Parts: sequence; structure tokens; C-alpha cells
Amino acid sequence: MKLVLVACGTALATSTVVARKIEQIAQENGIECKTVQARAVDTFSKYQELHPDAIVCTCQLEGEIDAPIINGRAFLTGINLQSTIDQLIEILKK
Amino acid sequence: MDSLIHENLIQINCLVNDQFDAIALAAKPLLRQGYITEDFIEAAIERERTFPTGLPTKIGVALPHTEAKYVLRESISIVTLKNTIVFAGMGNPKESVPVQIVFLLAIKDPEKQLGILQTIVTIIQNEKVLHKIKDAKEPKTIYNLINTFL
Repeated sequence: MKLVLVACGTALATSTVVARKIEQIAQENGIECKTVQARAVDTFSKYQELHPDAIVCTCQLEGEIDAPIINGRAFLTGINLQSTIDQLIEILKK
Repeated sequence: MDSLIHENLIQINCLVNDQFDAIALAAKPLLRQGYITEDFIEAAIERERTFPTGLPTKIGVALPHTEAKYVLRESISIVTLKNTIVFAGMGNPKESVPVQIVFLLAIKDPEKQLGILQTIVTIIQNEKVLHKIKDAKEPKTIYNLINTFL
């Protein structure tokens, strides 16, 4: 089971939409994947606690993070969406 | 489903000075009609400074919002701007994003409101619909347009 940490400013609106999209994409590609949402300020501690396979964020992140970070804005704007999806799938298939 | 979109929460062709002014304007009808607490406005502006919400779609959109504790009843306020206003980019505060449509989200329970949030995302990815929203001459046009997606 893969784990993706989804971060946005308040973990309220954008991260919810992005998290559901990621789950849908994973499912369509036959990848077992769970998402956990985090507020920007909690992201580093959640990262240390959960060791996610990737972090998808719509906000800037602080702290030294040694996991792949994907800009999740494409899931909202549709701009460069396919390359973002490809990037995510590549990480999750590892 | 009780929609979060209401005709009297849609303001058309507004003139504002900056992005914070736009948020305050969008919040006005929410405050007047008891959807948010007074502190919502300052909190949303503060959040916008730290975590900006501008999205560089074909017609720029911003999705300001703040914490659930300031929301009394869930709703979404929509403002279209006569002049383009610069918001900072979501995830990239140094980026200047010209915005003409603001969706101010007053949300408590995003799981419950996933449908409307996804609808907004569908809309902002659709250039034609964004044009129709920007060019709308009355709130009802936007109200009806969004409802066709719900």
C-alpha cells in the first residue's frame, strides 16, 4: 500500500479535492494507494511520522523532506495535468 | 442537495483595489446573511497572505478560504472583477496571477461538500465556462450556469 501525503494551507478545500483525484488516478492504474491530508504547518511532522511515498502539495513546504514532492496545482487548474499524473504514477509504481 | 451557491451571494463586475479588498467584498454578503463570523474576513485575508490561492487558469481564478471555525453556515460567494487584480500564486507566493473571478469558500466539512468543490474545479478547467462567468451581466446567469454542473 502506497501512502501520499496531501498538503495545503488549511487542509480544508484544495487538499480534499486533490486527495480524491489522486486516489482515483491510483485506482485507475491498479495502484493501491491511501492519502492523508495535512495542513501546511503540520506537513513536516506528518512526513516524519508517516514516511509517505510522495507528498503532493498546493502550498510551500518547510523542513528537510527526503520524499518526492509534487506540485498538486495541476489537479486544480488542469494545466500540465497529464505530466503531473505521469510523475505521480511513476513514483507510486516504484 | 442544498446547494451552497445562491444568487444573492454572487456579485458581478466589481471594482476593487487589491486582492484583500476582493476577499472583503466577497465576504460582505456572507457576513450580512449570517454565513460567517466577523473574524472570517480577517482570517481569510491573513491566510491569503501566507497561503495564496491564485490559479493561472485561462481566466485567472482565486479560491480564498479559511478555517472552519469561522464558518456558521456553509456557502460559496462569487465575485467577478471589472479590472484584473493580482493574487499571489497558490503554492508559489512570488508568482503574480491576474485574477478576474473569485470563489470565496466558506466550508466546514470538505468531505460533505466534495461535490461542489469538484464542480468548481471542473469549471475552472473549462475556458468556455470561465468566459461565460466573466462576461455574465447578472448573477442569475452564473447561478444557472453553475447549477448545470451540479
